[in-house]
Amino acid sequence: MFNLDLFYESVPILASAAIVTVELTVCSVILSLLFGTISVMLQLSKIPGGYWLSRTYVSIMRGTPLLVQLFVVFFGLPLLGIKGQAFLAAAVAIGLNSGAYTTEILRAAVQNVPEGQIEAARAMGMSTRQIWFRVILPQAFVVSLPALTSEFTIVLKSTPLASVVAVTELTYAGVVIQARAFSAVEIFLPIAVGYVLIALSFTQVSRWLERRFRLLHT
Amino acid sequence: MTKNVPAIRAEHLVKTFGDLEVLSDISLEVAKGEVVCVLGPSGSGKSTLLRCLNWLSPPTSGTVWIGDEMLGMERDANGTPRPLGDARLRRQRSRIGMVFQSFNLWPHRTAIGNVMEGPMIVRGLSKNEARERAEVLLDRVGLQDKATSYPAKLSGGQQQRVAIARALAMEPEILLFDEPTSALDPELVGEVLDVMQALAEQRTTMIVVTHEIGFASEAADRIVFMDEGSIIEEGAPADFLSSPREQRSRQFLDRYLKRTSFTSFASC
Amino acid sequence: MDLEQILKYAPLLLEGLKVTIIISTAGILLSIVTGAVLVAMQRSGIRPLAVIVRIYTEIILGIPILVLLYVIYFVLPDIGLRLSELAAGLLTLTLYYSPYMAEIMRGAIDAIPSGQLEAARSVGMSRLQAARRITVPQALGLIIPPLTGISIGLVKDSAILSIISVHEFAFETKQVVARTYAPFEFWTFAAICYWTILFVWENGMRSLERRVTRYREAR
Ligand SMILES: Nc1ncnc2c1ncn2[C@@H]1O[C@H](COP(=O)(O)OP(=O)(O)O)[C@@H](O)[C@H]1O
Ligand SMILES: [Mg+2]
Repeated sequence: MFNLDLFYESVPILASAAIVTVELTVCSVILSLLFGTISVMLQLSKIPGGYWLSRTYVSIMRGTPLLVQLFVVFFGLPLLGIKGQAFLAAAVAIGLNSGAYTTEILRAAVQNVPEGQIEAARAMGMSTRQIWFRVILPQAFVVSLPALTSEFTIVLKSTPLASVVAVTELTYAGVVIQARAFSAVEIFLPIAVGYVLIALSFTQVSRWLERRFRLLHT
Repeated sequence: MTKNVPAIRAEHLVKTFGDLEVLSDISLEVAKGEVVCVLGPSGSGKSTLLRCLNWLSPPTSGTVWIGDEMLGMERDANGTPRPLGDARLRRQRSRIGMVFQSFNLWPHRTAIGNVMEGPMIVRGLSKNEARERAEVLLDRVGLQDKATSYPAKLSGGQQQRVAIARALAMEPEILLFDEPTSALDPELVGEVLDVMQALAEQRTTMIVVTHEIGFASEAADRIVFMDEGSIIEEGAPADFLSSPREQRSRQFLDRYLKRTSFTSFASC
Repeated sequence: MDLEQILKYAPLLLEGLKVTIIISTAGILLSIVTGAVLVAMQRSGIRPLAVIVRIYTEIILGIPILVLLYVIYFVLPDIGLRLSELAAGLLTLTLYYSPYMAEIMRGAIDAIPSGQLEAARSVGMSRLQAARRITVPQALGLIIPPLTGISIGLVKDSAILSIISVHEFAFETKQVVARTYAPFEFWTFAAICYWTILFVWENGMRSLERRVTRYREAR
């Protein structure tokens, strides 16, 4: 029932597609951090309208399916003159989506930075920007590391959706091969196992970070 | 000209929060090299006064001068005062050091990192220059061997000494202390007071809000007693502590000295 | 946005929206039931059952829902189990979301001090009475907020069933896009619809939560 030859044949293709999955995950995570950081700064500094802009962004991203966001971005980019960039569209859509959750994670951490530390920085003559980048954000990122790691596991788990705009990541490659081979077990089982293993290692990293972080602060 | 200009001068400071008047018409002058201790019951507005003196919380009305520069305000062509731009306000603030009751060290920086931060970021010193300066200062507060420790690994007394070094690193013209020993376990108070005593002896200009009467009597040139947002009485420590003129000062000291003698008795 | 176009295809889209709502409701209910079974297995005191639940949960937490969908839709027929698109979709949502539902229930049950149950038993209530009158009313208040979050996730994930041609909202949108070639407009319109439904759902749940937790305000 399990065709070993088919399995061996598909391994190289799946492996190179897995690299695309990793690339997409990394790019999306970077964008997520970027959007999340900008959004949390908009929300919590006293820039006029910033609060509502950020809340709206978060609400839209959390209130609509990633699949729909992917299509909106994919078909929206050409309107901005960026054509035929499926990978970019996928990374931007996943990054925007995850950025909303990163915003929420960072917000909790930023609000936990004691007011006194910010006062100490202000008393010293630091500017608002310096306080954000030297006092608030470095701490917020460290505190959020465990939560961010699990958010990035979710990013990894979102990347298969990029297959709907024909990014040849792991899942898409699987669909293509199985359509040709008329057999699915040999392909989707290794894929599923692969994702579970990567996600498990993410969890381990998260636990390790959490332990390390706790050590640093007691 | 600079010789006679006080280090800091506050005129008619008023601070209100909504309907609550926390400071009512406070005027205070501190000469260069002078050490002033501010005493007063809790809630009398001492912290608020310090926070007005470096514009962390701008007063509702009144002016503050550091040297011959008006703090946080400037006059336009017609002579009407208006708030100073942020960059210039920050430059002024960096001339006033502040030490907080709760230390407020930055936990993601080591002890020496905390001390280097201001000189590097605000003053634009190179990393090496900042490190040299920080090493000297940590040495001065007796913590050279703790330079690479994170605040979480330091005792309260050590943290507060790092905080003092951090304030000194900006080479401020005046240092403000807001109950620097109130959050410390009794056995750690001494090491912080020793550092402050040494600063006083080096004629550092300081305003110290404190409940440590012993420190005030030894280190202060002048004691200011506040209650309900006003300065009730001021004078040399010896005079104020032995023969306060005002009823409220006497009550405060009576209660205070009773309590301290009780604690010292209890700790025998 | 071309309103005329949207009006023209509104019946089709509405049909899709109806399917989305039905599938989501069914998915939420089924995953709650399955989740309850998982909790029961884990708390049964039979070790192998608990271990199975653990492994199952780890797998679900690690597997992308789209991969799970493909496994069910493409792999199961290979071993002789052919499901309709709709059934495969519903099974996917249920299998994927039941561990999350189980987690919510576990959390709520554990949050209620065991002393309260003992007190209920001590006044002579049966186990069932205690569960119905003591545990459930309090657990509801604890369950509603996370349940809202998870159910929103499920509704959003139901959109991927369009990939295996379940005729729900995203699928119908795709059909309309193929006919009109106005993808940006119609996908944006779809986003607005999803957002509106989930906004109403979230706020409805929030007011429900306020109602069932009114007892806390008395403090
Ligand atoms: N940000 C604020 N908002 C409202 N009231 C305040 C604020 N800060 C201080 N107060 C009030 O001002 C009074 C003086 O406080 P404070 O200056 O901290 O006194 P002290 O330091 O002498 O104990 C208190 O009644 C306090 O409640
Ligand atoms: Mg105070």
